[in-house]
Amino acid sequence: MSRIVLSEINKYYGSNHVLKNLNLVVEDGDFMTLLGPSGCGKTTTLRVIAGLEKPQTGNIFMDEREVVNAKERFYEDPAKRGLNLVFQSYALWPHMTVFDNVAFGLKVEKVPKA
Amino acid sequence: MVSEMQVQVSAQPPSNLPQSRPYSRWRKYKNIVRNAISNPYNLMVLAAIVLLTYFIAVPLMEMIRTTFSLAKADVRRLGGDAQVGQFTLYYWKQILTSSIAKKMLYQPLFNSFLIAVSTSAIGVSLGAIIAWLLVRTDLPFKRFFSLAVIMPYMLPSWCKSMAWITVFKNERIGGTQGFLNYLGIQTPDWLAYGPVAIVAVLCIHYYAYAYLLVSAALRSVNSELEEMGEILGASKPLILKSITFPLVLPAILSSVILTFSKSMGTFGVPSFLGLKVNYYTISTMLHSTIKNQQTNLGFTISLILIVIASINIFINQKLIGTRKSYATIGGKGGHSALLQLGKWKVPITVLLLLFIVFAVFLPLVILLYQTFMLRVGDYGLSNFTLHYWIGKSDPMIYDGLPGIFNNVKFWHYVRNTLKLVIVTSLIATICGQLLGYINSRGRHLRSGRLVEQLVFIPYLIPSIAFGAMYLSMFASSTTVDILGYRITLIPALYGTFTVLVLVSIVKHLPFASRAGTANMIQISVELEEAAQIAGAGFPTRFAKIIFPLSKNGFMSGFMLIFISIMKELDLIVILMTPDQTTLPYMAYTYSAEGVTQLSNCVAIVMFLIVFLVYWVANKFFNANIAGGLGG
Repeated sequence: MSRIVLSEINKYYGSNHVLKNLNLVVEDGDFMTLLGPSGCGKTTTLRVIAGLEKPQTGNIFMDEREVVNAKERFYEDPAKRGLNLVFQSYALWPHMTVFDNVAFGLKVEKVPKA
Repeated sequence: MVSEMQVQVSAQPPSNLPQSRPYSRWRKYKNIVRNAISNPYNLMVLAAIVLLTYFIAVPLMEMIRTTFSLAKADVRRLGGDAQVGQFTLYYWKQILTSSIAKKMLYQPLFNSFLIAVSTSAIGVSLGAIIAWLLVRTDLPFKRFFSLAVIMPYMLPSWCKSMAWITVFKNERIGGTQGFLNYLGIQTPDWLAYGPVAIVAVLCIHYYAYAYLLVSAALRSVNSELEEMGEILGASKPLILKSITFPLVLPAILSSVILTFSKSMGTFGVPSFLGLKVNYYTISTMLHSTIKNQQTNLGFTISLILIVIASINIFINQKLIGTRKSYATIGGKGGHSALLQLGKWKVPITVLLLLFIVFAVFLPLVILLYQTFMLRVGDYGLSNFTLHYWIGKSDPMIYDGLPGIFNNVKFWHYVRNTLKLVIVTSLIATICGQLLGYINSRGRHLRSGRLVEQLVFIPYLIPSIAFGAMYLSMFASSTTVDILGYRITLIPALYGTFTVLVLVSIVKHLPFASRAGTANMIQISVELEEAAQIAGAGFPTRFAKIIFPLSKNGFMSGFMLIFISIMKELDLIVILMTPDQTTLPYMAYTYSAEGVTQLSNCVAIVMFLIVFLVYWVANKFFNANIAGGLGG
């Protein structure tokens, strides 16, 4: 596990300023809940951390490793951040069995069966 | 517990931050480039823009340029110091203001307008009403009706005009007598040929488009929306008028655009039913100018056609406006309460049945019946023959043309057609799905919209003009010398199989990409993002997630394109050479030479192929053409 640090994150969708200079530290082992009215940026924050959205400014660190450096336009690939995410819609692949859904990530990572 | 957690959400940066490397501009540029090329979306957009520019924008520019440059044949006509290729307004003046303008442009244009407006009005109303009856009421025999009403879509429109002539022609114009004539009924000229005949035939063809679009829209309207109206105390007609109708209005307007532009640019029907009485539409005029080597004039007419089609679509877009967005409201709306037709049930069923018999089955039966007639116009049993199907060459009949199954050329053309249709629809469908991916994922981006607009251009260009455009582009090769290397920018492809494939693919891209977009929109981005987080790269995501989920849509798109290209005549009639003949062209030439029976045989074979493919796709892949047309 590791500590996640978000520093001075700004995220715009077009002219819509969603995340306004967000600073957040999630310590190792924390159980954290984001609470707020709809549209306040909870999901966007998660998507920024997971790497599905690219913030326009700011840095993100996982322990000492930098995964986002907006000034240098550096955004680590989502798969290489060692995170996982459950979507609001669950995003289960409807054409696969439960087994295949679970196994998909392992197959992609080429984890041996035994 | 909470108070112990070291959570900071504040405007101040946390104090114990890990330190970022010192800023490096070089790293920034490296990352920008890396981000750009590692994003599959960007690569696909780039490839799409380059290809679409080459195959759509360049030919269009080339066509526009041609209309302003003097052709060799017209140099002498202008006299003086005129030179080949110099800038000139001669063609535009000729078309718009000269003494032949009325005959070449305004009269045909008026005729086309009249035909297009009447066809859209009648055809779309017909299609919409049938769609409503089949989707929303308790009409009996729905399975039968829903197959029967789309059968016209499987038979080329000009085949129906052949059937029309067979029934209504009279001895004065047609040479031989038609069926009604044979029964002793004198048919007036205006019924056999000309605008009434053309509109009637086009209506019983194009209503199928409106039916497909409107029924898809009606199915997607959640019946809860109507039930809500009922709870509020609205009567059935009021619900129909103020809830259902506005919800399917976008689909109705799209059908109007589709029908209008299709009937504006259609060539087969007006050439069969109009030319004999000198009734020209803009598309038959275009065909004859190009056939007469007056290419530049032909292109000028094409451009006018394109401008009209664009204006039509622009007006419609303004009309639909934001309403378009709620065309899909409600998704699949569970069960739907059917409207009881009550005492109207029997009359409506009988009426619809009569319509099916006359508009759908009769043309087919007539075509089939005629293939068994030794001499055209004699409907008696003594005239029965199988010669045109399986007969050996007989010098007494049509200069020794054998029955089609004994005709080596026929089998060659069948192979040629199947090869063309399968190759083309496969490539077009795959491109369409990829373009659909770009469109659905890039809706909010300028790049996505640019691709969408480029793909849309072939839709504006009437088939026959599109064929002319490719003829001019690929008639001879264009080369440039770059640094001593000779590079062929545009190869000479006229007369090759490749040019037919190219023109068919590009012309059908708007449909393919619409089908692809409708397909891709259904696949939630989150499904892809979940795979992305699991570490799947783009190829894996496409192969394991997107493709399996879009298989049915893929088949629907494939079938839509397949049927469309199988019947295609307008598009390739100008590009045809004897080696590359396809079945529709074979039927067309037979018919133009007056060998009606053989022409009908070929048309029947085409219909059977299309029907078989539809049946297989529907049965085994659950595909449906309506899904492909999708709004």
